[in-house]
Amino acid sequence: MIIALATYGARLASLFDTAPQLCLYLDSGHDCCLTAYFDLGQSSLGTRVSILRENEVQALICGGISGCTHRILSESGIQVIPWIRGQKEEVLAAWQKKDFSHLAMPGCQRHCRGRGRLEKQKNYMNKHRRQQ
Amino acid sequence: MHFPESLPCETILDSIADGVFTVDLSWNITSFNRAASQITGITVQEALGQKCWEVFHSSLCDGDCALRSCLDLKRTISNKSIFIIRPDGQKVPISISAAPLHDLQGKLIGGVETFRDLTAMQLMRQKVDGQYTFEDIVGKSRALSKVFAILPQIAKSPSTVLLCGESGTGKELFARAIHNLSPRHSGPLITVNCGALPENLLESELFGYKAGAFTDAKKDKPGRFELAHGGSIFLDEIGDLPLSLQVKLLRVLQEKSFEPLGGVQSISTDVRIIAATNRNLAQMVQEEKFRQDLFYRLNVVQLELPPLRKRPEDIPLLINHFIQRLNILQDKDIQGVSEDVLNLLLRYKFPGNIRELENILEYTFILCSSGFIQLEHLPDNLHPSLKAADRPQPASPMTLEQIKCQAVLTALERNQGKKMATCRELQISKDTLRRMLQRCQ
Repeated sequence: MIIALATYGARLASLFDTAPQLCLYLDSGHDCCLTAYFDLGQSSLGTRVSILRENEVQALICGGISGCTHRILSESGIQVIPWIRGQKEEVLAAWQKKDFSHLAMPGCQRHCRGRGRLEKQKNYMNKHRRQQ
Repeated sequence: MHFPESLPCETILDSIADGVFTVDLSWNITSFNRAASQITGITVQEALGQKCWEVFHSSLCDGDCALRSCLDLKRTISNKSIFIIRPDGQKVPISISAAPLHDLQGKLIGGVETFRDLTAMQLMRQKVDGQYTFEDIVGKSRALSKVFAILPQIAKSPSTVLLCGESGTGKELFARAIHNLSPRHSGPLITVNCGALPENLLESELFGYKAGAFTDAKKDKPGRFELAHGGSIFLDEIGDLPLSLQVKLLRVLQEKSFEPLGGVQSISTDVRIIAATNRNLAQMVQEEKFRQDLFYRLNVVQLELPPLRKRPEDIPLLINHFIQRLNILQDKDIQGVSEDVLNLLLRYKFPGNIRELENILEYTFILCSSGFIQLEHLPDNLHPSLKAADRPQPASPMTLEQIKCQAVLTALERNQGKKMATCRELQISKDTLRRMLQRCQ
């Protein structure tokens, strides 16, 4: 499968929405090989989403990401693993182990797992349906 | 400026409404004030000792860092407008200033950055200009997710889009989203409400006019199609477009050109058309109120926006969103809606959709000064059983203690005996509720 890292030089970029580079890796199961590199510059959100979709990226690992961008990518079928920090090599190693707990950005641990206030809303709605 | 050593710096910094943080020469955060924590959503403990880009998440952190610039150039940077993204995904517009920090010997030891939350200012501007953005589309329902799933593809193509949906479903927001995701995002997005202007004014508005075209036409005026060149034009209420103008619009779609009023030369146009309607255009074609050829030209890509009653799971999110916005605009601290109000709103059909929900909440803000919005704050048409004439009147005058007992027992009954829900509604602690119930029995 193809995974993408939103980067700034040797590290993950602070934000996907303004990340200067996108590195695509082919995960063969044993290791990850760099297959493509995109210089994003000031590219718009539409361009970034297009690059990911056209290159059949299945997972994106990135730093911060805005809610609406996260939604667009998720609805496109791309697994988004946000709020991660670190050098590219350690991020890829964490991907192999499927464990990013030690690379979560400060204060963002619960958002890495995709939970938080929206999970609370879902729980409330489920409770409401059961009561009805 | 000499700063006395005896003054408590931390207390002073924590009293400031702007966020302030300092970094050392390795970009580790060495101090982080209370406002910085509130604006970024990261606690002081979580921030201290971390790399600033891993805490701040700003649009400058990757290659354009203001702190790095001011340290390299040895000068201060003032009032630069950027944005940060909080861990909950919310984009926050801020204005930053940065300066290098030196010790008493003049040696560079790091930098200081201050930032101001511009959310309130942005909301005011949005309210005035009506320029809401993609981030204002709130909802996680399946119905909305289906729309989001195809939005990037629709945006990327040059095809004309027809947005269909009831009034108040956010058609303009989606038009903006399509434009912002498209290759034309750096061009203009011009909006025209085809139902708002009379026919003669609408024609000059859309296509412009030449000097002398009519009595008051003293100089050339470009129309909306010309202003939208290179970008997109959003034609709202397209079903209200008069038949005479439908012909002209069809020509624009077919030949990419038009003539302004009083003009003899055609003007070519490079515009992507996004149209919207709350009417059934297919039926209007049958009734010969809308041209069939224009309908097929507009209907290349149709996007159906779901009404709010088909996405009830988004109601709590929308309520939260509007309350946050209204709190900022009106400088209030409303905590939310009571469970009764939420249950009622979840059952309401919202014929006016999201706009109606927003209006209802705006109404409640007039009556509710703080705490949770209660049933009595809602408009009467939503909760007619609370009308004063229908309320049961007591048979004889009651003491204050008796009135309090009645209020507590009624609230307890309304919350089906749930004491915590009763406490939240009455805004009292559970100990106070326990004491009052003991006195009442």
